[in-house]
Amino acid sequence: MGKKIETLFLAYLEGRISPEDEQFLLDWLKRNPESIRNFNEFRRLWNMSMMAGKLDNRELELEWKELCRKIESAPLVKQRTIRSPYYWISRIAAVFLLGAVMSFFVSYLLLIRPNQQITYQEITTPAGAKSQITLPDGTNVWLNAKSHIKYSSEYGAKNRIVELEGEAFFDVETNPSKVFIVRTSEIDVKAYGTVFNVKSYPEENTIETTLLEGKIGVTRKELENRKSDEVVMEPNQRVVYYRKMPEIPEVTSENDETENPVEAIERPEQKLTYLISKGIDPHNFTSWKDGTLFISSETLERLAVKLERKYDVKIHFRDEALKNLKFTGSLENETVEQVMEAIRIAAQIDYEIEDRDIWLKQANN
Amino acid sequence: MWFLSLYVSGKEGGLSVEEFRKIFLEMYPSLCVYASGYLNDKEASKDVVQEVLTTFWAENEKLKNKDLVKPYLFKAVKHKALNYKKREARKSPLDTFFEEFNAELSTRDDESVENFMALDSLMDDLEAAIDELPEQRRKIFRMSRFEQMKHKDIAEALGISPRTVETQIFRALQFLRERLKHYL
Repeated sequence: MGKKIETLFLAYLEGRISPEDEQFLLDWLKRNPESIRNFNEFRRLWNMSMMAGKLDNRELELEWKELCRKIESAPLVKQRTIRSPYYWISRIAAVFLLGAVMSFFVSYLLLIRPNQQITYQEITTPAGAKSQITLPDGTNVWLNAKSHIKYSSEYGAKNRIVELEGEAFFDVETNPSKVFIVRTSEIDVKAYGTVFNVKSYPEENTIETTLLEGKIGVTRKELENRKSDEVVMEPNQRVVYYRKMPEIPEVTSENDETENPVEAIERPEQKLTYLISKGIDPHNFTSWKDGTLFISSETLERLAVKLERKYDVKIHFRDEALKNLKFTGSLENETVEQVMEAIRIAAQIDYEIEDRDIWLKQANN
Repeated sequence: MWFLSLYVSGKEGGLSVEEFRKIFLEMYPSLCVYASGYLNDKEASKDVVQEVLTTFWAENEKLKNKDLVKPYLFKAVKHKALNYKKREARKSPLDTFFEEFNAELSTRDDESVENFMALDSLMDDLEAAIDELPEQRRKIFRMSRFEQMKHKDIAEALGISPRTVETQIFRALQFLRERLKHYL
């Protein structure tokens, strides 16, 4: 390759080539197509090496945070902004005569606010059990093992609120004027007349909502006042909410000797809050109410938690390594012994059952 | 009738957030370097990689074979970068020429995921290759690429002729081309 061409090419790479020289170079390349590949590779290497060593750990964390933000917002079906109710109240009020408003207000105080104690109805299912409840409005709730549901005597008066810990399947009686809300520790699920499943066990890292019919909205508690942050779900979708991100492994920064220790503590908070899966088969996530437990690529550690709930047993690991084994399959009416036998054969491990305690260990050869 | 149907599935299924974060930490710098080879723009490269990772995460439940994560990501980044529309209106004729050449090339090459299997830690490989350059050449190349100095300024700073700087930069590029052939 000619020295002149090299000189011109470097000028181009450095971004200081004149338009005439650039045209000359372009014409030369078109006349020498066998050289294009070479120069193209030089150009790519030139561009690539600009990035070398450019992303330090600190920047990487910021990029992670940015990525989480994008993932969090990308699949959201944004609801149109709804004006605060006060906006309408103030406008409606304006058309009433002051006296009418006053009498309305007084009757409201007299009639609708009776001097009554609010009482709570609570239902708890122990491990190894399930129950079905019909709420005052006809809504059906299936409560999975080790779950707890609570609603007040005011249920159905203005709205329909239930508090849930654990897992439940809801078949909500249609009533567009009274919103049905499932409160979990960190998210609210709002429904009008739908069939859906909510799983929120305190020992699990996620809160999962699966929608079968109708439409529901999922809101994070901390963002309750920001209506636009509601995730609106369509049927056959599943929203997984992550309670907290796993700890970041400590990163050592050898390039940055001047690092300020105060800044190092100020770590960007990353939170990947929602994951939305579309076009899922909701049956996989709701079959528990019919007695089937679907397991899809789950670690033995997580599977153990589910088995503990389903069979009211305690599972202990003799070998930590076993926790990472992954299983796929389904369980229906098997006894706990049959399940352990299936695990033993599939993963070639050993177990001991003693009353309600089960120990898992590596197989002795 | 039911039957026990539990089996070990070491390589199947979706990713956990922990696994996704591990992939991010390992791959992000290399994917950015790879994208910038096509884009010559740090911000645009990051955009492309972020977009690819967003899609990857959203669809990761479909992931069948975790061994294909890396080649899949490289392939996706390449295609997204080739189709990236630069916001700036002014583009030099040579930039356009090379972009079209790369796009044309990718329609002729075998672009199956398996063909990206050899790609791994591009960032590490690139840095290692630069470190292997002879001292003077490495110094010049770093001044040119890391500090974005023009070759005349490098010549002045080192008290050598611009011609020598030019030659050294080309020799460095030639060496890198040999070393990083499988990424090109």
